[in-house]
Amino acid sequence: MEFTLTFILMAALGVAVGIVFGAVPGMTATMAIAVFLPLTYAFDMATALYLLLGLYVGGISGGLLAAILINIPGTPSSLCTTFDGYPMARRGEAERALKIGIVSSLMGGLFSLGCLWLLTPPLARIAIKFGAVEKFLLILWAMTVIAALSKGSMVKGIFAGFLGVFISLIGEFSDNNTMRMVPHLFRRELRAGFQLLPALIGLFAVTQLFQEAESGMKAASMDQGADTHSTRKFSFRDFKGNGINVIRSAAIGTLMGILPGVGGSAASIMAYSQAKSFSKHPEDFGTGTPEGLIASESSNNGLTGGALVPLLSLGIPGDSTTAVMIGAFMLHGLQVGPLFITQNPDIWNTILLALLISNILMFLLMFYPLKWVAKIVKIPKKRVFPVVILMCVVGAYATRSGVMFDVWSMLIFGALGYIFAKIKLPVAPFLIGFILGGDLETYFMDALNGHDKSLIAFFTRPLGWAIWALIILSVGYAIWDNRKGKKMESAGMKD
Amino acid sequence: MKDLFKLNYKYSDSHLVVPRIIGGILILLAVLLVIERAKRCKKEGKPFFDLKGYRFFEKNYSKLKFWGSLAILAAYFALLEVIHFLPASLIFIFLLNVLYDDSINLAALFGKAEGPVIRWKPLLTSAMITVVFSVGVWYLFGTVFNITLP
Repeated sequence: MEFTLTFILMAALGVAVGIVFGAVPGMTATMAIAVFLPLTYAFDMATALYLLLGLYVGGISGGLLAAILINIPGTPSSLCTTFDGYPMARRGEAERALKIGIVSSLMGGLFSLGCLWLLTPPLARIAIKFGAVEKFLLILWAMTVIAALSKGSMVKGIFAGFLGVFISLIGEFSDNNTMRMVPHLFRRELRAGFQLLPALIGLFAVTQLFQEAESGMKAASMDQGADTHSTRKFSFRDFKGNGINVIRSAAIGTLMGILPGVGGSAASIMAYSQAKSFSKHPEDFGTGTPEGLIASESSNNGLTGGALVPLLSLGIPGDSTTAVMIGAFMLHGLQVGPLFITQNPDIWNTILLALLISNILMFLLMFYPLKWVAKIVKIPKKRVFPVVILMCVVGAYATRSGVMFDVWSMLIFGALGYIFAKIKLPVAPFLIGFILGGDLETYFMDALNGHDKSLIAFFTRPLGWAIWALIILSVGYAIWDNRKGKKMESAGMKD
Repeated sequence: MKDLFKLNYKYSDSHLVVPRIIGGILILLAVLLVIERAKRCKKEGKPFFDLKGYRFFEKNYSKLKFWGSLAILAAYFALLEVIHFLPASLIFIFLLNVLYDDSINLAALFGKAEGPVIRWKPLLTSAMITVVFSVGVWYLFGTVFNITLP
C-alpha cells in the first residue's frame, strides 16, 4: 500500500471542509460528501477515500461547535451536545466544553475504528455464504430495522422504504431488457432509471436549500452566543471517572452505526439517556455537566466506524452518509459487499488508515486553533448555499459525463425531499430503499428462478431462517415501541 | 400445496413481477396509513380533512426567497446547456446571492417602503463570491480535472 503526502493533504482538506459543513447549522456531513463526490472523479480511489472519510469525520465532529456556542446542533448527531455543552458555555466554560467535546469525539472515533477493523472481516466471511435468498432477506431486514427505529409512525417508515424501492425500479429490467414505468417522453433519459448521485445531491443539498429559503435564510442568532474565553480551563482530569461512560457511549454509537439507516441523532439520544441513568448525579444532566457532553460526543463519532461495518461487509449502508459513500465506490467501479475486503485488500487498509488519520487530524485541527475554529459558526449560510448549488450542478452533470436530465432529476429529488419533510415521511428509509431496490429485485427474481418460481425458496435454508428471525424481531420491536409511544402520548394528554 | 406458493409469470413479463408486488404493498400501506389517521382524528375529535387549518408552508414563510430560489434554479438549469456553464453560473449564482442577502430592497424599489433601494456592500460581496467561485469551480473542474461541464 503506497502512502504519499497527497493523502494527508486530502484528508486535512476533507476534515477542514467537513468541520465547516458540520458547524454551520442546516448543513450536514452527508451534504458535504454529496457535494464533494464529483471532485473524486479526478482522483484514484485511495485519494478519494482520504477526502471523503476526512469529510465524514470532520462533518460529524464540527457539529459540536454550534451546539456548544450557539445552542443549535450543527448536525443532527450533536443534538444532545446542546443539553450540557451550552449551559457550560453560558457559565463561561466554553473553551473547556469545546475541548472536552473534541477529545470525546477523538476517543469515540478511535473506538469505532477498532470495531470496524475487528468486526467487518468476520461478518463478511459469514456473508460470503449468502445466496440470493439470504441477500434478499438481508435487504428486507435492513428495511424493517430502519422502519422499526424511525421515530414517529412505523408504517410511514416502511412506506417510505418501499416507495424508495418502487422508484428505483423505474427503467430497464436487465433480465429481459424491457422497460417499465417509464413515460414515453423520457424513454431515452430513464432507460437506466434515476441515477443515484443526482438523487443523493437532490435529497440532501437541494431539499435543505428549499427549507432554508422557506424560513428566509436567517443566520442563527449570535446574541445569546457564548464567547470562547474561559473562566475554567480544560484539563484531561475532566475525564476522570468517565472511562466507562466514554466506552459505553462509543459502543452505543458504533452499534447504532452498524444498524442500517439509523442516524446520528438516535445514537446521541440513546448514549445520553444511558449515561444519565448510569450516572451518580443524574440531576446534573442538562445543567452543564461534562458527563452528558462526553456521552453525546463520543457516541456520534462512534457512528463513523460503525456505519462502515455493514457497508463493507454486506453492502448495506449503515447511515445516510455511508449511503452517499456507496456512490463513490460505484464511481470507481468497486462493488461493496461480502467480497470487498478479499478482493480489495489495499482499499480496505486504506479505509482503516484514512479513518485513523482523519480522526487525528480532526483533533489537531480543532483542539489547538480553537479560537479561530470557533469563528466558523459565524459563516453565514446564505453565502454558502449558492456555492453549494454550483458544486451540485457540476456533480449531477458529471454523473454520466454530461446528461442534462441528471441535473433536472437532482431538482426533482430536491422537491421530493422537501415534500417528504412536509408530510413527515422519513428520508433515510426512502434512500436505503432506493439504493438497495435494484439488488432487492435481482435477488428476489434469482431466488424464484432457482426454485421453480416458488415462494417456498425463501423458507428452505437455515441461514435464511436466522434472518427471518431477525426480521420478526425488528417488526415485533417496532410494534411494541409504537404501542409504548402511543400509551405515553395518551397518558400525556390526560395530564 | 406447492402450487399455492408458485408465482406464474412468463419470461417476457418478468420485468413486472417485483414492481407489481411493491405496488401492492404500497397500496396496502397507504390504506393502513389512512386508517391510522382516521383513528387518531376520531380520538382527538379532529376532522379527517382539515383544509382550513392546514398549512403547507410555515407561518410567515419567505415567499420571495422560496419561490425565487425555485425560479432561479429552474432558469439556471434551463439555460445551462444554452449559454454554457460559466456564463450561466455567473448570472444565476449572483442572483441567488442577491436573493438571500437582501441587498436589493424590492419594497423600496416599488415605493412601498422607505430607505435605499440598493445596499452596495452586500451587493459587492455577492459579486465577489460569484466571480471567485464560478471561475474557480469552472477552472478547477473543467480545466485542471477535465470533468465534463455543461
